[in-house]
Amino acid sequence: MTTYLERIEQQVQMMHMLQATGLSTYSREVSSSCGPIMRVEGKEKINFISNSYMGFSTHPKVVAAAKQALDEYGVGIGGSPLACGTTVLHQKLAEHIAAHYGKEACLIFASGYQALAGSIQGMLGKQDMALLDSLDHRSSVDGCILAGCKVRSFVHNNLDDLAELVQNTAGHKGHRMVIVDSVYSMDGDLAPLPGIQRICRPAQVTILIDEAHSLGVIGRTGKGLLEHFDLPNGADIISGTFSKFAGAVGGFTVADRDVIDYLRHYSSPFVFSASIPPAIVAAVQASFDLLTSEPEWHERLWSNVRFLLDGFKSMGFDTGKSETPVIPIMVRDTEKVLRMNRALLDRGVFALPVIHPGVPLKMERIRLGVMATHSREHLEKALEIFREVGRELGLIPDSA
Amino acid sequence: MNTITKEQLRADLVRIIGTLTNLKPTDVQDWQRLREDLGLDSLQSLELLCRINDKYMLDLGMEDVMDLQTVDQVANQLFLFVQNGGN
Repeated sequence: MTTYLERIEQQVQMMHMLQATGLSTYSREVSSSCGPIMRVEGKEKINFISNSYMGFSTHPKVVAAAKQALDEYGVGIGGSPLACGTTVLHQKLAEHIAAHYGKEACLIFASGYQALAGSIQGMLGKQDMALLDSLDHRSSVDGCILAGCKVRSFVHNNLDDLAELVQNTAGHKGHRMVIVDSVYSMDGDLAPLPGIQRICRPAQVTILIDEAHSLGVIGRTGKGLLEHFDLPNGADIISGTFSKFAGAVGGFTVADRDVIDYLRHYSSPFVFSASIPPAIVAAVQASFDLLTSEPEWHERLWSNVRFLLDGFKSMGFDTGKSETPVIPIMVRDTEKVLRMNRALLDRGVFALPVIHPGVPLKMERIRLGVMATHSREHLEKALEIFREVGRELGLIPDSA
Repeated sequence: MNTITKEQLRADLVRIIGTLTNLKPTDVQDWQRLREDLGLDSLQSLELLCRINDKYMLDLGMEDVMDLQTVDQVANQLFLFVQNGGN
């Protein structure tokens, strides 16, 4: 049995060995805003590493709203939401998000992670059971650990497996809740919500969806997965984050008023965290407003997604099942994916290598986040760099 | 005393691992380690145990199997549990 200090030493040694090879590109130093071009260790790179799909974090209206709130409220509000941390800005944003999803009420959390983990922890107890998609975000798993509930999982997006699981757990005495990501963060595919509803509704299984990568992105006007499938009542509880579509920080949960009022007092991450600063709340509110006042960003995002996906596919890259701004370039080899990312970074593309256990074995990939603010020139240059590197590593034919 | 054979139990184990990992049963070998070679994460490992419990009406916890690494080790230990009625 190794001690915790020995385990730490083993892992740190492995990390140092990886860093010594020059292949690790994690946590590079950034000295610019999160625009389509980022300055990484002093050099400009095309940004494909962020989740700021709409590029709103640098939009002049968003920055102006944040500055105004900063002048009025200072850098923070100095307490948790139950104390002095619920300003008129927090209240207005919560009402806006509830209306956005057609729900009665909303809670604003300090992060998307806390929104999901804290809502699960607050809702479920030891007698209850969570049914997780096998690729759910870590915050769902950690929420279940905090809740102490029973956990079962079904094969990713496999409705037959979910139906079997719902049937096999029908005798469970506590409450059951299925928890899925609307868009899966590493593969960019969607949760099959109509099928999930068909299975869960008759069995009285509550549906919780995580809108982290879909809010602002999916659906005709960017309202998310419910709009995409035209299922306004497709979920009972909806959590999400402000770090993706708004490129900021913070999270939310919407549901019936009783559920929200309950979580307000029983979700530990909500009760015991300081509120997000009013300047951030104002920026997020301005980002929501942009979804309706400047719909061209949504159109530009999808035009960029189509252009990039077509470009990669025509060269012979494997982009998995993605149908969203999350685009994986499947490499299926740990060393090769690290070498590829190093080569991409050296030539001007800032992307994220994802290896096991972040993804299953043989599913290692470069993960790209497309932005509405990428110009066609950025995308063409990136494709050319991918073509060079892909040929050198034998991922695509020389003729590509 | 349960009458299941070790071969039947191994076949069930391999089928469940294949379902959870999207591997063909023929690609799952006795010597393979669940985490390092087959890529099962903690959630999948827990689900594997739950499905075995469901199948054989056992009540095993993670502490009963956490020292087991390979498919063969898990199959052998499960066979002993089933033979002993889950004790």
